[in-house]
Amino acid sequence: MGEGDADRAFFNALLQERKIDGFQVLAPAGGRQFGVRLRAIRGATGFKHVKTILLVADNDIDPTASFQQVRAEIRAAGGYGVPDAVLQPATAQNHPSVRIMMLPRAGQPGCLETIVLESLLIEVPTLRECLNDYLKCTPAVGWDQSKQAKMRLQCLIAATCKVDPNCSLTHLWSSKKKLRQLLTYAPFDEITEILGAIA
Amino acid sequence: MIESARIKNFRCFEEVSLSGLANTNIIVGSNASGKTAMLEALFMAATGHPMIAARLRGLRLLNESTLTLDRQGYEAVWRDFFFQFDQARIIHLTLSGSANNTRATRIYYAPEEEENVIVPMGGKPEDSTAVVPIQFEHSSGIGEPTKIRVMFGPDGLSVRGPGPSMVISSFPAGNRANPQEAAQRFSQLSVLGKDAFVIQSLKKLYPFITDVSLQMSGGIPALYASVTGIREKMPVSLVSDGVYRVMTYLLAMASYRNGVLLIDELENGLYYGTLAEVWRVIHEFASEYGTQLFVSTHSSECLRALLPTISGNEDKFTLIRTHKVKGSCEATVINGRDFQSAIEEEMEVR
Repeated sequence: MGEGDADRAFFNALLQERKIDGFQVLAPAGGRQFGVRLRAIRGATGFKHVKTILLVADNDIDPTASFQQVRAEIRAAGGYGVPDAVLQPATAQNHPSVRIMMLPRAGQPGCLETIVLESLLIEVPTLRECLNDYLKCTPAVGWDQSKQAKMRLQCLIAATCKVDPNCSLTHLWSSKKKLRQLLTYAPFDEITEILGAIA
Repeated sequence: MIESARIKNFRCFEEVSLSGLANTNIIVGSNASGKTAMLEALFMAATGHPMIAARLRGLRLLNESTLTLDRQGYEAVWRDFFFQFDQARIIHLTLSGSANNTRATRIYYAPEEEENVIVPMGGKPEDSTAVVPIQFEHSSGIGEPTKIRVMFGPDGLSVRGPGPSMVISSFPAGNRANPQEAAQRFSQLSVLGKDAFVIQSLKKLYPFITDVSLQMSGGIPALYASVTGIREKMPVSLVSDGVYRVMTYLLAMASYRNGVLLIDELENGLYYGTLAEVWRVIHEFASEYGTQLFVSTHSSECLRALLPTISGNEDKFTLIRTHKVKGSCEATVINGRDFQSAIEEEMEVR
C-alpha cells in the first residue's frame, strides 16, 4: 500500500519485471492517509485472504518522524498490529500482519524518486554533473533532499525520455517509454529482496 | 432494535451469527450467497408464522404446491426452509436486542405427532383434519414458549395459536408492494394527520409530483398523484415504478414506530441520479420513526450514493457481506466506519 499513483505504478512494474507474484498494489483515492485506507480494505472483499500488508512511505527529510507518522496512522485505523521497527511484522487478532517499508531505505532521507534517480543515472552517468550544475542555478538548491531528488528526476526524464519528455513518474514504466530496464538495476535490488521475502 | 441474530438450518445457512447490527444494515454478496435468504430468515424470525411459507414461496416464484392430505403434501410447504432440505434438522432463528425485538423461533417436525388425523364424529374421510407435525415455537425469553399448530383439512392449511407481534415489513426484489396495503397505510396516516411528511418528502425527491391523495378506483382505494403538466391525477404506480416503490417504503416506516423494514435490492426501479437523495430520505424516515433497515443491493452506484448519508453517521450503519463456502452460506458484518472508508476509497465491497 503506497502513498499514491506513482507508487502503485512503480510497484506494479517492479513486481512484474522482477517476476514476484502474490501482491496487490493499492493506491489511495485522493491522497488520503494510511488510516483511512487500512479501514477501507477491512471493508473490502477478499480482506480475509490478505496475509500481510506492506505500507510503503517516503522518509522525506526526517526518517524517524516519517516512520512514527505511519505508525500513528496504523494506530488510528484500529485493530491492526503496529510495527516497532521498519520491516518488522506486527500482528493482531483477525488482521493480517503489517510491515512498514520506508523509502529510499531505512534511515535515509529521500523518497521513491531518490532510487529512481539513482537508477536512471546508471543509464546516463554523464548527466550527473550537469544536473548538479543546473541545480546550483535554480532556487531548488535550497530545497531538502527529497524535493531535490524529485526535481533532478523530472529534469532527467525530460532530457532522456524522447517519447514523452513531460512524462510523470506514474507513467514512466509503460513499455512505450523504454525505461523499464531501470527496474533491473542494482538500486532496486534491496526492495526486490524484501518483496521476495514477503511473497 | 435487533442487535444480533442467529440463523441455524434455514435455507442456505447451516449456522450464521450476526452481531453488532446497526440501524441500517446493507446486505451485499454474489448471487446465491444468501442475501434474500437472510432477509427471509429475519422476516420468518419476526413473524414466525407458518403461513408465511406460502408468501415466501410465491416471492421466490415457486409454484404453489397442490395440498394433499399426506406427508408429501404438507412437507412440500416448508421443505425448502430447511438447510439442504433436511427436515430432520431444527431451524433456529434468534433475534436479540431491545425487548420488542428479542425472540427465538424454532421450527421442527415432531415425529410423535405424525399421521395424527382427526376425523370428526359422523364425518367422511374427505372431511378429515390432520394435525401437521411441524412445530413453530416462539419464545421471547420470558415464560414458556408459545407453539403454533398447523391444521390441514379440506379447506387447506389453517393455524392455531398466536404469532409474535413484532412489526416488520418486507419488500422483496422485483415485487411491488400491495397497492391496497399502501392505500390503507396512507389512509391511517392521513386520519392521524401524519401524511404530510410522506407527501413533502416525495415532492422534494420528485419535484414533478405536486400532491398525493387517496382516491377510489373501481370501488377500491388507491393512491393517486398530481403531476406537473398532467391535467388529471394518476395512480402513483402509473407515474413511475421507482416513485411507487419509494413511497411504499416511506409509508411502511411512517406507519409504525420502531419497526423493521426489509428491502431486497433497493436499486430496482430507481434512477441512479436519485439514489443519494433516496438514501437521505430513507435515513431521515428511519431516524424519525425508529425503523431498523435491512437493505440488500447489487449496485455499486447504490453503495456510492450512500456516502453523503453515511458520512458522519457511521455508527448507524453496517455492511453485511454474504458468501458461500462449500454448501453453506456465511456472513461477515463490517462496521460502518470501515464500510464508509471502503466506499470513500472506491474499494469493492460487494
